[in-house]
Amino acid sequence: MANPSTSNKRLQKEITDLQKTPPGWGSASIVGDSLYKWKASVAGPEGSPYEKGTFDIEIDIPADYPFKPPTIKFATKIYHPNIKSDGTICAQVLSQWSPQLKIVDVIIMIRSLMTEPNPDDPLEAEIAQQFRTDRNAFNKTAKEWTKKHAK
Amino acid sequence: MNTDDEMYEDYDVDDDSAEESGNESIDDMEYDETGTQEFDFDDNGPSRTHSKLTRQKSFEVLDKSDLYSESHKLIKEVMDVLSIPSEACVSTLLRHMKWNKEKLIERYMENSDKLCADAGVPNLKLDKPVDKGIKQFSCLICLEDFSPSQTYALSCDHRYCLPCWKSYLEIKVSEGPECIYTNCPAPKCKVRVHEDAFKAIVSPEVFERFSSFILKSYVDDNPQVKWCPAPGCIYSIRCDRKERKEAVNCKCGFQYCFNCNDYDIGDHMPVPCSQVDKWLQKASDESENVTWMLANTKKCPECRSPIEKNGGCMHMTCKKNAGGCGFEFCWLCRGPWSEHGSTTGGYYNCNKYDKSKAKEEDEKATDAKTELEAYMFYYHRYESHRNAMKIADEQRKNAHLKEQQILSKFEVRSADTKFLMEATEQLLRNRRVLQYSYVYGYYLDKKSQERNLFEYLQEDLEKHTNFLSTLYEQSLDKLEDYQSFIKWKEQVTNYTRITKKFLDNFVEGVSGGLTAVH
Repeated sequence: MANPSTSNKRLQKEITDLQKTPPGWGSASIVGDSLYKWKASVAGPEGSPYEKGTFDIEIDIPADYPFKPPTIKFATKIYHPNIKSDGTICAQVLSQWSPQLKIVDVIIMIRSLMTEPNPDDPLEAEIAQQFRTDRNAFNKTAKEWTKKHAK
Repeated sequence: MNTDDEMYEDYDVDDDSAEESGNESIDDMEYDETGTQEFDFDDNGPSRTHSKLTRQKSFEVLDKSDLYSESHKLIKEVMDVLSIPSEACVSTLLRHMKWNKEKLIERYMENSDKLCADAGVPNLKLDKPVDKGIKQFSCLICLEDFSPSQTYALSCDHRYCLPCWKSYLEIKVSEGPECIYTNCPAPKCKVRVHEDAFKAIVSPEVFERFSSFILKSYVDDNPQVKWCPAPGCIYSIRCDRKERKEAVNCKCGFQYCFNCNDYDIGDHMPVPCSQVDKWLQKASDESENVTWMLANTKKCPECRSPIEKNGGCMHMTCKKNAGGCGFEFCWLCRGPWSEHGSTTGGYYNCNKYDKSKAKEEDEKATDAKTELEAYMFYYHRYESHRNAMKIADEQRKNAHLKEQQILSKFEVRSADTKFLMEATEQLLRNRRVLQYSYVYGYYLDKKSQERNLFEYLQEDLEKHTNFLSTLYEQSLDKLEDYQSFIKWKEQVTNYTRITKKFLDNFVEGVSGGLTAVH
């Protein structure tokens, strides 16, 4: 089994790196004393209907990290085909997990999912259908939700 | 219903294929000693069937080492044919091709580069040695520094430290059988981690587990080999025949239908697999409960709660303590009880009934009840024989205790107790066939001529099986001396033989389509 100090040391390093070079998309930090629970504030990507919104994301990290992926949940309501109304994300995003990836990489992956939803693998079928057939209506609702919930 | 044809399909014996397969292993022979037999049907007609009621060596019980040598034989064959020197490469290729040697060779001949890349062993290279110039190396997983000797990379040259490799692979193995398809840890890298890498990196215990998953895939990907479904059994069975869904005997003692491969079903002769499915579906079907409810309960006219009448007069009260409403009504016409009395026929009748809608509803319920009663009749007997079979199985397991008692009480040779095992084996076989005969009976046309013969044969078998069972279970205390033991022994032996004959008759009759008495 994984040496528990591996995940500990690596998470420490990830935090130090984040403090040294803060990311352009917002911030990420641990919640309370546990290295295994993070919270990130992520700016909606430019050019997407989520632009100008700030989305809170909760990140739970398993003891076997980085050999097993973290779990991700949106704390801010978001109108998106791959994000369920309770904030959970399609597992497909992290099924291609590699222990070489870091928490920041996960957030970058999520941001690219915000820019480019994947309607073929939806969690919210109705939103996916709208995304495919009536992009304007989709963009409109997504923008409204961003304005309302993601301040 | 086309029962006869189905029977033939499922229990046909192809003599040629039996000889071709030629799997006369020592393991099979052991079963002859215990008297276990298979019953085989012959498509040349019932006249020959009797003589064919001997074992067919058409299957083979395999243990772990057999599987190991079989799979390695396959690997060696591919190595020879394709001139690939690396066993780990070929093993990975074979797993990628679901252990299908012919398909692997075909695809390799078509486009070896593509096949190797798809399988995760590009260019048949296993790993990449470290560059001599590099003095220190930083692992991209744990982000720590290592000397190059403490690192490893597959052919893709994605290099990580050995402790991270170990954690990565051991976690994969802990996650289960899919670990045999583990890829390099680098993002999106499709190079597969081969056996040699696992062996060199993980602990021996973990590698053992990994190897057993490889054998598991060898069995799972192979339609001719299946694991024995008995709980905790470590054996698998190879059965090369395509047509017949025959019963096989595992080394663990379990006899079952290779096609159904289900511990609960076991050997379901004389019923075809399709009918077993239908029967089990029926037994588990929720609709059966609905039928029961229809036949046995009525709804309270006030609150619609279902009410079962289990005796007594027609004056019903929808009990409040059972969730009802307290309404009092007449069971027959469902009208309020307050309107009833001596003028309407008293407590056990109701002259309002004939004119009421309730009568129509009841007629529907009667039909359902008749069907339900028929089903219950067959199900009850099916279950009884099933339970009796479990008892017989216990008896078989404990037969040696009885044997010991006999040996010490009557000072006989151990050969004189052989009949005990033979009797329990016979009982077990009879019970099994009787159990499924009730499935067969349930689906047999209720008015057909075949039914008469079927029931006649079934009754005979049942009667004699029960007699043998009673005889076998007789307490040894009642046998006072050697003479009475010998008498008992002869009786049991005779009845074992007699029930065998009745079983053969029954099986023969059913397989012959129940058209004539043999």
